[in-house]
Amino acid sequence: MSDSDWLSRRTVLKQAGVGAGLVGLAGCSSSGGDGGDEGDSGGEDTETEASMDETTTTSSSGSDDEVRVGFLHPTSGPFAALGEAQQRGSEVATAHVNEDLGGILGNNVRRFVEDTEGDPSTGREMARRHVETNDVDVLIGGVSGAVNLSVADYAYDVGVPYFAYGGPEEITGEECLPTTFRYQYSDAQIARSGAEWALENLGSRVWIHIADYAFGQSIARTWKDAFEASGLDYTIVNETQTPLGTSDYSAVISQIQSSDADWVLQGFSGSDAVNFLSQAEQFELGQDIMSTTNTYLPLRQGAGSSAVGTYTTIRYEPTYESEANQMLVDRYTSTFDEPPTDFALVMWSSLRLYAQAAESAGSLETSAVVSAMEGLESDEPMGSTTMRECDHQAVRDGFVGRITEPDQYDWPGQEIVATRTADDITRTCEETGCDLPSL
Amino acid sequence: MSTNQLAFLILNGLALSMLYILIASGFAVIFGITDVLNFAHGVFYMLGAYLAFTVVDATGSFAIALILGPLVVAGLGIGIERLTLHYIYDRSPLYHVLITFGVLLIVTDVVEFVWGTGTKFFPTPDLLGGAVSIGPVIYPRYRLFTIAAGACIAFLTWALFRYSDFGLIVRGGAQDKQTVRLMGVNISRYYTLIFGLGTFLAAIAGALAAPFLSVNPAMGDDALIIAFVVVAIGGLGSFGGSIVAGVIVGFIQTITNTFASEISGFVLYLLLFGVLILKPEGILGAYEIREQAAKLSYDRTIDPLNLTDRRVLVVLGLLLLIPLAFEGFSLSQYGMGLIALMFVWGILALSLDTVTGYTGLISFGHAAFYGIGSYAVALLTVHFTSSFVLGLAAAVTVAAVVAWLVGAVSARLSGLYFAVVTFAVGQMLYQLALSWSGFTGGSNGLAIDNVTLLGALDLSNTFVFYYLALSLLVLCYYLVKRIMDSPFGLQLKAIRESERRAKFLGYDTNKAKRRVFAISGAVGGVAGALFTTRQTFTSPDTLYWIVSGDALFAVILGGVGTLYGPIIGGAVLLGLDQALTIYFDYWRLILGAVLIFIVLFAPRGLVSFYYIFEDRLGDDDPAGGTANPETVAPRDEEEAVQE
Repeated sequence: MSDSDWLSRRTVLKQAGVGAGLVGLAGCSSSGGDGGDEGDSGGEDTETEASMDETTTTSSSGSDDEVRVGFLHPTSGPFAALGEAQQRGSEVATAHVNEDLGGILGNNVRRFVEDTEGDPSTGREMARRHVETNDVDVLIGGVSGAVNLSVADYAYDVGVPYFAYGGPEEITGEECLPTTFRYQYSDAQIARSGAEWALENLGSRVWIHIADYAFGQSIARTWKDAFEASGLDYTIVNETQTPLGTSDYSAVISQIQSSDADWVLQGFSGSDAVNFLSQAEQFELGQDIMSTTNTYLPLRQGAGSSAVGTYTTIRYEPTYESEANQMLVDRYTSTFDEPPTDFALVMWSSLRLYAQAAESAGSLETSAVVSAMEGLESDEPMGSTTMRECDHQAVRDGFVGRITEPDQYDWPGQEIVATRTADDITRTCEETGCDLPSL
Repeated sequence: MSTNQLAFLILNGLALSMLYILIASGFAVIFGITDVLNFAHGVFYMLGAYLAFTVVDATGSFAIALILGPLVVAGLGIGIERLTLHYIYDRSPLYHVLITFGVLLIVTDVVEFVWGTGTKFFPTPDLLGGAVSIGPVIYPRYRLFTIAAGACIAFLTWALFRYSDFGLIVRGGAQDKQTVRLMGVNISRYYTLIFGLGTFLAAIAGALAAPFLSVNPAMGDDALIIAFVVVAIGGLGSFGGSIVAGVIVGFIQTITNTFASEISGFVLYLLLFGVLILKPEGILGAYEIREQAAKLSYDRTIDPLNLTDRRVLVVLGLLLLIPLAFEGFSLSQYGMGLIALMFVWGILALSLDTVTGYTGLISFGHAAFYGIGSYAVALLTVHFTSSFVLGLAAAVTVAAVVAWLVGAVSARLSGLYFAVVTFAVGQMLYQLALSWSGFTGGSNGLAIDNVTLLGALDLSNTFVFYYLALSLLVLCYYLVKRIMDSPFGLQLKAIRESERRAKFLGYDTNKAKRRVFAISGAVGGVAGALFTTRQTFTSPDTLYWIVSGDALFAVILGGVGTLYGPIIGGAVLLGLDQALTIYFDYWRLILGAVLIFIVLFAPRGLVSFYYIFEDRLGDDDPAGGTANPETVAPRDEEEAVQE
């Protein structure tokens, strides 16, 4: 460039300005990045205000005398409604551990929240933010299986315990990791809760319709396994799929309508499920619908009356009678004035399990916590739970239910129609294909 | 096939066709008359559904909702048009696309803020609930109602354009604005009305669809894609064509859903490619691209900076020093990683600038190359080797080949068709990555082991990655700048200014376009490869069209057609994104507003601030006070930009 050798005081000043600006930028990211650094108390305050919802009123002075928990909730993006439900759960869970259990190892639990946007890359980036800038001791959350898998992989890389929310069986199966634990049911547990019951009560002829993505494919696979495992006679009349996010289900509904299937297995959630259910109602579909997701409160709110009468495996029911559940319901309803959800339950129980393991290990050190977690037994809201040593999957009872007319609230309720024992619904250690790598 | 099945097939096909026609008609109206590709079409559709939901909730009447909701949306559409598009019809469609993309970002966040993010239950109106017997089958009343309503609305709209004075004037305006002005008609007022009509149609489609499609913030994305494909198949600018295409697409989709549901996600795109290859102007499109409107030209040229320019060297020097300065802080990894990702976004924006800024082709599918690069590294690492050099080579090669092929299909299509085709390619790859889970890991994505450089350096180390990304950014910039300075680069600029004249001079412009698209794809592949290396993870989201939109945003934000501007834009966009997410839940709203502001008031992006400040301050130091201190540019006073 012809003027590149034109040097004056102005140019020098400009260059200085550029430099200062750039360092300013870098300084900005580093002060954000140093939020948890003790030396940078100003930065810490901003970070605290901004990216976390502090439930403890006592202010913390450093990372030594508090337990830092990183929650991952997709509060924006496609799973935002579910992420918000999770976020309410993690708030109540933190308050519970601090106020009812006296914290962990005598220290307050401090809650950090980051938004995964439901995107696995962002989820991983936010897990990184938790570990590198929030300096957390444990990660909990994520909704979609994709985010769970990408976070689990990262948590193992950096040696931080992670409590998954998503259901893919590989999380505690072929891709199991020593740092990963799951209180949530695996898809395989859900399938075995529902499959045998459905064959016995709804009929032996089933139509499987799934959304063509990981979750739907996992449902088709695990339910077929579960049909086989039940030892009952069954016929799969047809297996169909629609792309994720399909809005028009008329073609498949009219096919099911004119078939001799007894019931349909609905392999999708979210707006796909809402569309499917409301269109099935408009078509006056004669077949029963069995799902693994209609238990979700946001789905029942979305589908309204069209969900009534469908069957579902139940993940959480606020009226379930147990002391532990009463505690959750009381705390949650007094904070939010609505019943807790499965999303809240899993946050609640995951944090409680972590707290108990840390207490029994006497330290927050990952390897100590991991070995204390293995085989840990605890009374949780939906019954007693054991964290299995071989795959880090919580083993607990499963439930089948039916969606009922709205009664206490504006949206449909659910009733438990059958309970299945933990042993009946859980795969054996050999079946899972899990071979835990070393920590 | 039983009569039962046939009856269902016909009814389902009809219902879907009418829905598609409803969705596409508003889009077709606006495009046909004003040449604006309205990316906000989907959000207006969504807003119509939400307003109808609220009105039904308040009044209990679906009929009132069906009128009131769309009227409010039309009012909003008119307001937006008067504030933004009204002033820039004579500019390149690139700016129209970006304005409407900004509106999309804002409206989506407003809707999420007002109505929440969950799916809303929209009860079927009582009178239209349940099902009735039609011949051999029982069919939902509401669907029969939408078939009738869709046919009515399509007919009325067609009649309005065909037989009214209003229709006569706007059709005239679409053909020749000047002549209509000479006849004493203020055509720009009609443009405003057309935009209002288009948004009204979008909203009424949303309200009608609400009772059988769920109401949620994502519903607009689907509608936008459908509108795009139907209008492109029908022939951009032909309203009748959209109706014919709606029927064809609706029936083919229904048949596929019934008999081959495995490929139902690809029907739209396959049809689009089929039609564009056989009949590039669409089924009924006798439409000529209006050269004047479709070209991107600048008041002035801002030349790319040389790497040896002192200011560039100073910036580079500082960037080289940052990681060393960070050494003292134990927790600065995140900040350093963030700057490294800024380099990655800089490379992506740079790649898009070669096509859009230099050649004037609007690519709305650059996510394709980013995603291909990303998957190339991920798949190679999973199956063969963790070598970064090989991964990068694969990423660059595959991305370049795919880009060349896309170019081969679409380079002969000018202007907006190019945007449509690239958009469709990106979305098709996204759908493929989602469905083909055995190969791509589906929506779960692929987590990979750490990638290594030359077998020794572990690239998951932030420090190493930082320098790798920086050197690749510099290398890409150097190579692209060399290419753009060559005779080939001049040829590209000639194509941008006037493809016809470039042809007269004997250049094979299609060949040049294919080549530059391949180069651009290759550079985009580099960005994707780096992204996966950093994240040790990839997922279909890297291929989603929002990434393409963000890349265009970055190019405009930094300064289109300057090569270094987009790099700054990419870095600033990523920084903004990361900073805003910490403080605001509704940060996309802010980004949308920034985008609209930039397009309206600083169409040459952040680099033009340099000139504005230089103009205002004379000899004073401009860099210290600019929004972006990295902005450095040639400073010949007489070249000062006139915005």
